[in-house]
Amino acid sequence: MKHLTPTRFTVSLILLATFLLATVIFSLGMGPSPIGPGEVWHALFSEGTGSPVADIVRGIRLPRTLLAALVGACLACAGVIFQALLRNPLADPFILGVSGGAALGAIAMLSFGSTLGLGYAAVPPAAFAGSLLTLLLLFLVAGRGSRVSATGLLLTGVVFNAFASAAIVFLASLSGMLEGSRIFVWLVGNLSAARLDVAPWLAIFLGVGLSCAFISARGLNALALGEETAEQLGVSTESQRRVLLVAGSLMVGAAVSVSGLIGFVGLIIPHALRLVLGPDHRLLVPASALAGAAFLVVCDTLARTLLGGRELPVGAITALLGGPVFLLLLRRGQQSWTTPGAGIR
Amino acid sequence: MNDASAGSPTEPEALGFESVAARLGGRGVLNGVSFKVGLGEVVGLLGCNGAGKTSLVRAATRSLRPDSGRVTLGGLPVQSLTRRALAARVATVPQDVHVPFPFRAGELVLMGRTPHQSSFGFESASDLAIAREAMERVGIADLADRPVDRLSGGERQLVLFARALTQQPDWLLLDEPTAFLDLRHRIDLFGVVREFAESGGGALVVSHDLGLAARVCDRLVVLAEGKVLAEGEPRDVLRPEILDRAFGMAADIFDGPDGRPVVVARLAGDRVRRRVPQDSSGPDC
Repeated sequence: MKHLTPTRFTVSLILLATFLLATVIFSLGMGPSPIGPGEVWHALFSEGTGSPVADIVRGIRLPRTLLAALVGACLACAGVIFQALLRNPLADPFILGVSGGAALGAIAMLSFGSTLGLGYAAVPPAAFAGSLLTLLLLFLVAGRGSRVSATGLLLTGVVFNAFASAAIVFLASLSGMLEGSRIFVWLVGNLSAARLDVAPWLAIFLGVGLSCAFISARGLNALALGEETAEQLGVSTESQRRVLLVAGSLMVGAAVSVSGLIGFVGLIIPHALRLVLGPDHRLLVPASALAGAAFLVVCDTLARTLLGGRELPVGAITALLGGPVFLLLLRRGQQSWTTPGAGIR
Repeated sequence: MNDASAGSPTEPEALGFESVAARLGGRGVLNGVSFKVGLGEVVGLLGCNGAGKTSLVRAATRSLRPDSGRVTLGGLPVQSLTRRALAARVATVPQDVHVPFPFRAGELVLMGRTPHQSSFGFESASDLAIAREAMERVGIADLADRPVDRLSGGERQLVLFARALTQQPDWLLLDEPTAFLDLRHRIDLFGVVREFAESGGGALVVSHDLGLAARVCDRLVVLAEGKVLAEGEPRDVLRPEILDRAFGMAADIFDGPDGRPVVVARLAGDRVRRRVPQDSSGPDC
């Protein structure tokens, strides 16, 4: 009988962590002045400050690569949580409009926070509030409890995204942020303007969210089969769902407040991992965090380097990759997901 | 129906429904249902669609909260137990389950250990042994590594049945467990339910298969419009006038080879060619 063994758990996570480390070293080497992996390693761990290579690797490239890793981990892990709670493999923070809600919260804080005497540090909590409110709205509108139809869910997400974008543009024009490209950064998803001073927030939100998801992983397995099935298996669905909604919102809020609307990471990564590792959330949750981090590090490296001197927004790259995956999933799952709750009463 | 023996502290443990009433969408689905399922017995729950059978099962697993009355487990209201404690004693086999992710049948069966484990951790050797034994008992050991979403409806029902056994409960609630099963698997499944009762468990089986229910169950409870219409031994319950009131159908009752009643429903055109009651060639319905 195939099932999750401690060996498979450990080996999978060690392999993924190694892969993440490799992508980070690759990313740190890429740029206007390429640096070999050996040199990167040396600059990271043994050289003192002062050498130009160490300055480039540690001072310029490392912060951004770290942010990319944290954001990717948050988005992929939130995707896993939403997919299990909504019992729909298409549920991605971006597609559901949760990222849009977080961005709206962040923009509102950026626009009016200074008049309230709140600094940039208040942006991540505002983004968290935005994403949590959006999720609650989503559950209210698209259906009662967990009996949410797939179509209703996706439509609600699309409409909410449009609404959030409009509201963001509106707020931005009120506060004069429409000038230049600052607003563009939020709407397409970009790490080039990311500020390292939010990294502690990001790490805390990711840490709390990931731990919550990790310790309720068995509950996630049961919830993925439906609320009532989970209850029959002895899972306290109400409290678990509350914890997991907060965990997911924390991670989306953290990611969006740093990078804006980066889509599809939460869709591609969990899907790919389920194919390789199976759907057990005890492994899927930590594996998604590692793989999501590696994925966004690679995407952001491409965004920085693909066009030579000019930068692409990383959200454009994830969307170019994620759009086709979404369509493929939608096509393949048509029969099973468009009959929501079949047999569940 | 009134149960005169309620309330005695020394009575054997039972899953008790005490005047359970519940409304769904403004309609009273349960209107004061009282009966008990003791340990060591199989109780069949019969009734037409919408009679309240599934709602009653949901009330027992706390998925439906009664507006009045209560469901008790060994005298304690189930609402006072944690879901985990309840799931360790009462396992449900639902009609079907929609699995949106590629879980394997064996993984689904292992989830039956959920109420006995911490929220994170790996299955122990004994968890695996229990799951394996349940799958062998149900006859699906060969399905263990197949994705659940590729199984047929009947195979999935057997997986859910094995999962319920893996919970090692005192009571089994089966909600039309044989709806998608062929005759041989129906008989096998009911055989396992009987074994479960003989080894000291209690079972409540919702079924539309009157013939099989009559042969397997110690007692039958017939629900109609959210009330108990009849309760008792199969031969006392499966009577033409009760079936007429419960299902609105005309039926003939014969004595089966084991002395249990056999129900043969009449088709619309059947009224003229009645069979002689001693004719034992009547098929199961």
